[in-house]
Amino acid sequence: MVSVASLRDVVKRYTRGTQVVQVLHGLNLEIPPGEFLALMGPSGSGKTTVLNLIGGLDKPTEGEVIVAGERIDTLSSGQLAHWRAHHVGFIFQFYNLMPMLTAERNVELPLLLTNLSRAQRKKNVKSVLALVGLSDRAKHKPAELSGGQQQRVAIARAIVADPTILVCDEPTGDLDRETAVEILELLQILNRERKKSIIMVTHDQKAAAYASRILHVDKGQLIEADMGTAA
Amino acid sequence: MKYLALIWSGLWRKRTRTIFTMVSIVVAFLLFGMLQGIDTSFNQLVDSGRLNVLVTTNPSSLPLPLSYLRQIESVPGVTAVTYNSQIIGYYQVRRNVLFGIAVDPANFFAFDSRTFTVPNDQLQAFIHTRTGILITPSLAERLKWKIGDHIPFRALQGAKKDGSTDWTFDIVGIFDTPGRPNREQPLILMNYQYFDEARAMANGTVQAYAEKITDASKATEIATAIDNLFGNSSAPTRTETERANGQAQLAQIGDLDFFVDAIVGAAFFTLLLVTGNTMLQAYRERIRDFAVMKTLGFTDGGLVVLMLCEALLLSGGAAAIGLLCAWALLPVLGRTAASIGIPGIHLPWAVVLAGMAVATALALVSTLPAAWRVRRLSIVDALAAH
Repeated sequence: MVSVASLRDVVKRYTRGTQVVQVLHGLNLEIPPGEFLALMGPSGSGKTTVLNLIGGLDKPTEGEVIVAGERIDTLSSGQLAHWRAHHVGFIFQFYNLMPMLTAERNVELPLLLTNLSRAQRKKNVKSVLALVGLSDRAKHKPAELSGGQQQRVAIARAIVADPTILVCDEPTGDLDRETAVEILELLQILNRERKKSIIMVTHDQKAAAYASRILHVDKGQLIEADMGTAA
Repeated sequence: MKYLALIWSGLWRKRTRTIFTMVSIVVAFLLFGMLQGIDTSFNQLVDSGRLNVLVTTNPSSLPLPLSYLRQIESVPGVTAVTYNSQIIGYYQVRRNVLFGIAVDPANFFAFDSRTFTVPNDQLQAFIHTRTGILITPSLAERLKWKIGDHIPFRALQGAKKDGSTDWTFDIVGIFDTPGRPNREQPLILMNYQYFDEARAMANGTVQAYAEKITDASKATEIATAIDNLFGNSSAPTRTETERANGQAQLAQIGDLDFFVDAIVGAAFFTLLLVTGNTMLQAYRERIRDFAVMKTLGFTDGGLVVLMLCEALLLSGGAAAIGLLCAWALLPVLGRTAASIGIPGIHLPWAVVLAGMAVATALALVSTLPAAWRVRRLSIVDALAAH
């Protein structure tokens, strides 16, 4: 089976002033289509770097990154932007919604980069807002929504353009337990029913348990975890 | 159009700041429109001056003897000569300023039959009525005067032989100057013979001569010939084209173009700093938003275009409001200015277009620093830092 994402011999070094910090040391990772993968690890271990590489937000110093059938580490900045718009949905810890836009306008944002008609965009937005259970909050601005609702809007925005892969950086990190469970269940539905491949970075063991596979990142290397507690 | 909501929301992210920036742009363009409108009207007045008409005056601003008339008429190349004297006064109250031009009725309209038009019966009445005057239509409308009215005129300078400064005239007609800016001036044409006989001083003199010449390309040569006639007299002359004369009169006020350019330039430079600073502040506040938009797939160029549209909307919208205010206010100012002899103040389309071009340039230049930063913005660093 062709992987939805492959990282091969990936090395990532950052330069901070005069210091060179190596975050990833020849990392290899294969993510099969439809997998819900959780990446765990201590701060500074490199898990967010892995996520950024898969999401096309960053480029490796060495190695290959192939996602959705395309080698993305060789793409230019403009090509990467175009690729992200079509293949990746992002969900952040702090939602990152546009404060001046209503929920539906926030969700519509990725669709502005497509050739869809206004009517089609509205239809798609309505459909995903219904999926995340926020049809009645479409006209509300982020400040008028709870944290959980804002994260649902962010999820709706991430899936509205029907991306190949969902990249989630601590999606429940800013939520209470009850709301976190709702969000994780929603991600699980997207994974199981909509066949979305999901890669989620989390510190939370309980959140990771919703994934179908858990990997630990430690000192730039991957370690397979025991899945005994999976939901 | 699909990005309009996004652009609009970005513009109003900080409502108070946007309003203040808008107000400063509105005021700057109001100033631009008003000053340029005034400057243009002056320039139009100068440009309306003809090149085939010479004007002879005394360089020391003193009057010239009427006896020069025959000598000027004899200069080769001169086909017609007319003359005038001027008197300034007012009707009833000082704000009703009137500019009286004393002319030889028959000679004046023959000389300028294309510029000054008057119905023949009214011209005949003017020629045959010593106290008769012709007025402009704008003056008739403003002061509710009509033919047959007997009007008092108090001179500001120009006393009569009896010591009084009160003149009385009879309106015998209405003359027009179609297509010329001075159409709006509060002008009255009076009979030179009556004026000269009645005035206490400077009898037998005129303020200026106007000469029509056969060939505009020989204007300098003919002007020199006229001036040479009186070079050694007690009242030497300076002869120049009507346009050059207009420019010289305007120059007496000062270098209006320079003043206008200096004021407008200073206003726009300040505005550029204000708007540039606003755009940079807006950029700093929205680093995270820009990083998120890049994450979603907006390209660097796309974001720059969105920022530019935002700046254009702000700058162009405010400039349009400012110019609209100038357009509304200039006729009010124009009416006041016309009553003191500055005619034709209005906002020409060329100034509106220039204003909008300046607004576009302002948007472009003020967006540059912020746009440059957006292009260089690293998504990973921006999301990690904010």
